[in-house]
Amino acid sequence: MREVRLSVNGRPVTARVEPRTTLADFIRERALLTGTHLGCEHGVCGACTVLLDGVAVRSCLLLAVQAEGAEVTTVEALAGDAGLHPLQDALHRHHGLQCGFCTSGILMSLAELWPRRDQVSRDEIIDCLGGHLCRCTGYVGIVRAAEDAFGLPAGDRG
Amino acid sequence: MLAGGQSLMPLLAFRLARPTLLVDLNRLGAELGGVEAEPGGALRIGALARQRAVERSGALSVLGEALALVGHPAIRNRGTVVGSVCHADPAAEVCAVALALDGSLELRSIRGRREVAVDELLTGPFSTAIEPDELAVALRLRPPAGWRWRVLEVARRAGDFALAGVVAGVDPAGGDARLAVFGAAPRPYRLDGPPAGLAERAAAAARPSGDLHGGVAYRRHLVGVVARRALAALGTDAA
Repeated sequence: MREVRLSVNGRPVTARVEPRTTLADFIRERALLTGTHLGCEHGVCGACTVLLDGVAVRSCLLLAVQAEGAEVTTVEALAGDAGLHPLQDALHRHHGLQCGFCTSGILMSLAELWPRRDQVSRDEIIDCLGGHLCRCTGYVGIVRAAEDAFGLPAGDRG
Repeated sequence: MLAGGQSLMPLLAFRLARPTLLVDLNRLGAELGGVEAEPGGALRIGALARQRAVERSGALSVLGEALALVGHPAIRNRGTVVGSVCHADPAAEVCAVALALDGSLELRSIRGRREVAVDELLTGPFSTAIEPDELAVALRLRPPAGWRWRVLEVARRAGDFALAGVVAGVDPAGGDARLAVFGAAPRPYRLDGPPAGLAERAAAAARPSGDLHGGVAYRRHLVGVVARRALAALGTDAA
C-alpha cells in the first residue's frame, strides 16, 4: 500500500491505496466523487475523462500513484452557486444527453478547451468529441451544444 | 516501463501483460521530455515528449500530420512518441514516420548506450530488438532536406487503427519518392524509387491479416489506394 496525496477540485485528498489502483477508482472510492464514470476501463469510451493539472486525460489509464501532487478536476467542479456551467447548460438545452453516462467525460474534454474558448474551432470540437462514445444521442445534440457554448455557428450537419 | 501508458495500461487492464515490476518514468520529465533540433537537420524526441505537445509544436509537419491521426486528444495528451515506437503496433502511424525518416532509437542500459535504426528495431508485431535491461531514451528522426510529405490512412472511425495507411514523400528537386506503409503487414515497410509504379509495388508487398474490419484482398487494395492518393496529392503523376 502506498500513501497518495493529491488535490481533487481544490480539496486535498490523502489515502493509502494499492499501487495498481487507477486514478478513476481513487476518485470514485477514495475521494467519493462518483460523477466520474467508468465504462470500458481501457481508454476507449472516454467516460472517465478528467483534467490532470488542466489537461484532459483518461483516469482509467493512469495510476493514482502517478497523480501524486497533481490537481485533478472532475465534473463536480463545473456547476457553481450560479447554476450550471455554460457547457452543462448547453448540453441540457440541445438534448446533448439522454442516459447521461458518457456526459461527464464529454464535459471534461470540452472543459479542457474552455479557458481558450475564443480560439476553438469546430474541427477541434469534433476531434475532441471523437474520443467519446455515446449510445443515446447520435451525437448531433452534443455537437450543437458545443457549437453553441463556444459561440460557433451551427454546422450544416451533426 | 510506464511512460504515457496509453497502450500498456489497457494491456494491464486486460491482464495481457502481467509484469512483476512496473517502473514509472513520469517524474523524469526534465531529463526525458525534450524535443530538440540537432545540427545536421535531425530531430531528437525525448522519451517523455507527449504526442500532443509534439503535434502542436510544429517541430516537424509530417510528424504532426501523423500524430493528429493517433487516438484522440485525451489519449495524445498522455501518450508519447517514443512509447509508440517501442510498442511497435503494426498499424502505428508513428512507427511508419520513423521508418520513412531514417529514424533511430537511443537505448541506454548499465552496459552503455546504443542507437538502433528503426528498420532493425521493429522485428514484428509488438516486437522490437530492445533488450530487457534497456531503456529507450529518445527517438532521432532525419528528414531529408527539401522533401514534401503526406500521411494518409483509411480507418473505420476517426481515431481507430488504420485498415491501411501510408507516409508518402517526394523530393521536388530529384523527383524521387518514398512510401512507408502501415497497418498492412506484421510491421511497417518502406519503398523508395520513382513515383511511377510505387503504389503498385506497395500493394504487392502488403501482407495484411484479415479480420472482421476488412479482408486480406480489401486491405491490400486499400494500400494501393492510399499510396496513389498520397502521391497524387504531392503532385506526382503516379495516379
